[in-house]
Amino acid sequence: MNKSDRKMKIVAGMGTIDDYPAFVAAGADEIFVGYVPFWWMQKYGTRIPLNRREVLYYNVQIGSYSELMILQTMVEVYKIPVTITLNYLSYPKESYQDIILLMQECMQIGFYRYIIADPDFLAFLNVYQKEHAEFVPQIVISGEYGEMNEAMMQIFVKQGAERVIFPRQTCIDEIKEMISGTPSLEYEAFVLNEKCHYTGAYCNSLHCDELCHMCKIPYKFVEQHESEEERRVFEVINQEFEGIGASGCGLCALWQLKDAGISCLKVVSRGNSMECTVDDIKALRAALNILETSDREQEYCRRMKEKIFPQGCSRNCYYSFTASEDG
Amino acid sequence: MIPYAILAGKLIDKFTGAEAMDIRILDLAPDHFTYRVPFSFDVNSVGKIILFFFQYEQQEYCQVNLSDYEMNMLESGRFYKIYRVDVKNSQESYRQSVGKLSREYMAYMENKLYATDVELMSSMTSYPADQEDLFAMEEKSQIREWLRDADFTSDHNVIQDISCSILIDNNAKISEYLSVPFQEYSRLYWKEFGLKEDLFEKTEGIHIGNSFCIHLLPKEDILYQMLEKAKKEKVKITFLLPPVNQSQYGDIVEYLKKLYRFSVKKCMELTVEVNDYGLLTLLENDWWKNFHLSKGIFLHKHTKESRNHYRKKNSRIDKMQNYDWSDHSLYLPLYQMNTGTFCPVCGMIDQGRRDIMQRVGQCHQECMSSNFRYPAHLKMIGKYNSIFGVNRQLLCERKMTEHICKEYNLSWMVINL
Repeated sequence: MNKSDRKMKIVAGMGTIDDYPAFVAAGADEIFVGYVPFWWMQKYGTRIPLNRREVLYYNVQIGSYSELMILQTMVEVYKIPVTITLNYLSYPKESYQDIILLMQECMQIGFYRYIIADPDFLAFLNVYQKEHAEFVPQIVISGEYGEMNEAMMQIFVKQGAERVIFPRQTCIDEIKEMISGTPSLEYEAFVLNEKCHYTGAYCNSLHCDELCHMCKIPYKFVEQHESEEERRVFEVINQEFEGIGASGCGLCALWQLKDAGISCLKVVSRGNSMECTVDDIKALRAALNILETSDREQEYCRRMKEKIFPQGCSRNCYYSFTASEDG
Repeated sequence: MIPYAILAGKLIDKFTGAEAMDIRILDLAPDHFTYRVPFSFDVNSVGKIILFFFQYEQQEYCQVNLSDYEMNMLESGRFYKIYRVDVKNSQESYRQSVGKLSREYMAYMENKLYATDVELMSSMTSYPADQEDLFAMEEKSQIREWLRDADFTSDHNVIQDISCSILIDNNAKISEYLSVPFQEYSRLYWKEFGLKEDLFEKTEGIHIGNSFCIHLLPKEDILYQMLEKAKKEKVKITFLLPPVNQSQYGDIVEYLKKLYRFSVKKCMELTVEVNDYGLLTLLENDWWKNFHLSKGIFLHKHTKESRNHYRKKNSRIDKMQNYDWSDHSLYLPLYQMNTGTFCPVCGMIDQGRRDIMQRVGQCHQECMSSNFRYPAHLKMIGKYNSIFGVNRQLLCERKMTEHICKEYNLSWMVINL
């Protein structure tokens, strides 16, 4: 890997505008937020959500336009851009015009970049853009779209997307292949928090206040042909661990992610406390600093672990090769 | 700070009566509240304030118009100004709404902080906490149990113009299909699940392949045997493809090229149901003209969840459809709820963890003998790399099934037991 390659950016999720200055100070390069105005809540509620934070009782969305205006004045001062997340998997067709209206409202005050997950809505947006030359949103393809092969990257180029966020369940060698086939796009990968058991694009779980996520429903795993002698003992994740990356961590993979062509690193954080996210951003910034000054991958991993995980890590790896490598 | 989704506000212009600004409420009390606006906003033009309190039971907002109040600036910062609004005693509706919202919010927070998931669910929904430990039986017994007391006689109308197809999506089913004539296979299939043979008058097709997992696609020689048998027996075929990862993409394209050449040689036309846009774009090229393309269930996304009926209802906006359809086919009674590209079954077997972030190398089809079981009341089945729900209503109420098929212009009902 060439050390002079461009630096990777930290992209952090934000729940309220009050967190923005703290995230910027901690080292975030970009922020993403949900914006769900009251008129949407009145018309569709969380039954047809604008993004995958389908909750009412958490501060995970910006709701009022006045807050968005305040945020824009902050962006003008701190110069750290904000992207609005519209990553629900499938909007009803009758809501498309409302989403366009929402995007127009946001663009009026300077928010041009949107994370989109719904393929049908993205196609609609493309047609709408062709018919309305003044409507020029910047499109980021969500990791919930289900992008998993190079042929899809070609579609995104044609659709005018700027960036692709790889889904959680993507191997780094596949990421590298897809990027090398379509180098004109910018690429983002998950690196901290909220690893999922299933694939976001195919997950129909309600993410609401009153029911836990589907993957948290109790289950029994039944191996029908397994005898007691065959029962194996597995190394499990450190359930007690409460620090950086407890719910998912890809810090060991930074070297390989950069080598693969990833330029943006996602810190999933909406719904977490401001303090936790600030710690996450600082840790990731420290890891990136170590990455920049390491000559080899092993050196990076050793120094990073000494600095960030002196007492051990969660072993809850986003990119599994790391678990087998460090034993 | 109160989440905006449960308490929103609007400032109304005293001259025009129009909405001047929507506002974020910061603090709330029975006699006052605070809010903030952008620094540039002039509150002198405000004539009225409207607050919207979310009511959990009704799943709607309650509107309170405030006209009798006193407003003073509390803080003027770099980016915004904060105002305090003291509400006069006459506004009883405000006081009551604050009380109700506070109780509901605090109850939620208390549950979220101190209760278990199941305690939270049962306190806010009709979720039966006492059935949490009653796990379902193995897949076939579970399905038979669910279908056992279903009333298939309530609706005798035979669905016209829509044919029935059987899903053959794993090696065990393939062996059964290849071992007997199709009519016999069909008869045994209905019998196995305790369904009446005449449930659907016309069983004319098979859907083969797999929409969820590439490792469950039939090997080439087996696939060709199936195709030849189907052609001989005049059974119509739809071939299902799952979403395809980058590392599998080259192999699947080769597999499809061979299938295409076979179909041309045998003068067969195939409907191919595709579940990712990359592959769909490839197959849309001219030279695959023997393949009739259909967008699969993953390209017809919508939320499906077996637990939705436990939630408080809002019939105005709650229109969840618990069934799967593709361009041509309605799938019943199972519908997909979740799928892991990295197989959760292999994860459990290889690493003891469902969430292992590792793609499947050599698949030994462990999902044929091992899988996940969930509390029986949820009517969820762990199958392959996915979780499915069951919609018994579609089997019982054929008029409803017919209505769905007509709505989406579907020509096949695919039984996917």
